[in-house]
Amino acid sequence: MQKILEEIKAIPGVLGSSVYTSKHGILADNLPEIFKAEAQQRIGNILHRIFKLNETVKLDVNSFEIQYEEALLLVKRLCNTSTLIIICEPDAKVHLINMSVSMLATDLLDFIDGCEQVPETQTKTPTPSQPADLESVLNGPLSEKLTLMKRALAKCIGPVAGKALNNSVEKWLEQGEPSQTRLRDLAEIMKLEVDDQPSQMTFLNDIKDII
Amino acid sequence: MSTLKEFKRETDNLTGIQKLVVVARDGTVLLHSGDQSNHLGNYVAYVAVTAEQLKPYLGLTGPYHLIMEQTSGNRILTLLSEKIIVGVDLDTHVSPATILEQLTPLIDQIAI
Repeated sequence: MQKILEEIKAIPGVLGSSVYTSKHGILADNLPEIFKAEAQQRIGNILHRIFKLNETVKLDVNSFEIQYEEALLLVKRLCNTSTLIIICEPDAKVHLINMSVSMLATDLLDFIDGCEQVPETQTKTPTPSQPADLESVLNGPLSEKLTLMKRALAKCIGPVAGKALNNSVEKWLEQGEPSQTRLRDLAEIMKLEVDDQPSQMTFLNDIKDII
Repeated sequence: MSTLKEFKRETDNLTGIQKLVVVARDGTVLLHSGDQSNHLGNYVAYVAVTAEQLKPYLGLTGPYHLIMEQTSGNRILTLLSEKIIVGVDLDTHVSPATILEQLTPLIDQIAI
């Protein structure tokens, strides 16, 4: 791994680099000595967090650069748990560095346990159809049946049944499309909102004709 | 000095911008065009603050801007000034350097 980092450092404009993993911290580096181990650890942790944000904001950022007065930081996601950090001269030729690094980054993955490469394709991968949202399902064609299921649940857990139904439907939608044929799956999720087994059986019995 | 309205008018003339958001330093979204969700505003505010958090560890001045690249090739450009953070979601075919060159002189002039 150190050899690969030396190759990266040989690219014009690169001052040094490091590999950070969320499990083991800094695995290797050849940054200038002013970057102490503790500081590198902190830098790696902060930068890696940006990739973790992808899911929350529904983005798929796989690399980024930060321009400072005295340096340019290039950060590349190697996989979900590891990040390559490259510190460059402020006016470094980013395209040249990116091109050279993309080949070497693949080699780096071989040295990181449990790390699968993040796809670097420029083509958009087909995305599955958007999951239906809660409101449209509650007010859609299944609304009547969902209301009956909520009433049955309310017999077991009282006024929190509405909230419990919403939570259950959200989980249900994560698993597939809202449909009559999947109501049994929803019932199984709703059942878990009831604490005791006899009440769970009562709930399922009450809705057996609906699902 | 120019107002946010004037800034928006200027940016409307630029091609290749899908969404634009201006966020105050306290996270308040001051202006957005394109998609009206706050995702972009929240995101650029977060990455800008993160880049600033690194300063004591790196001993560097700035940051001035960030360019985030997605797997699809789309890029998000974040520019920082003393009072505001500007986020721009760019078309794949547009060079961030070109937009950066055009926006940088403008953002320091915005009065909020």
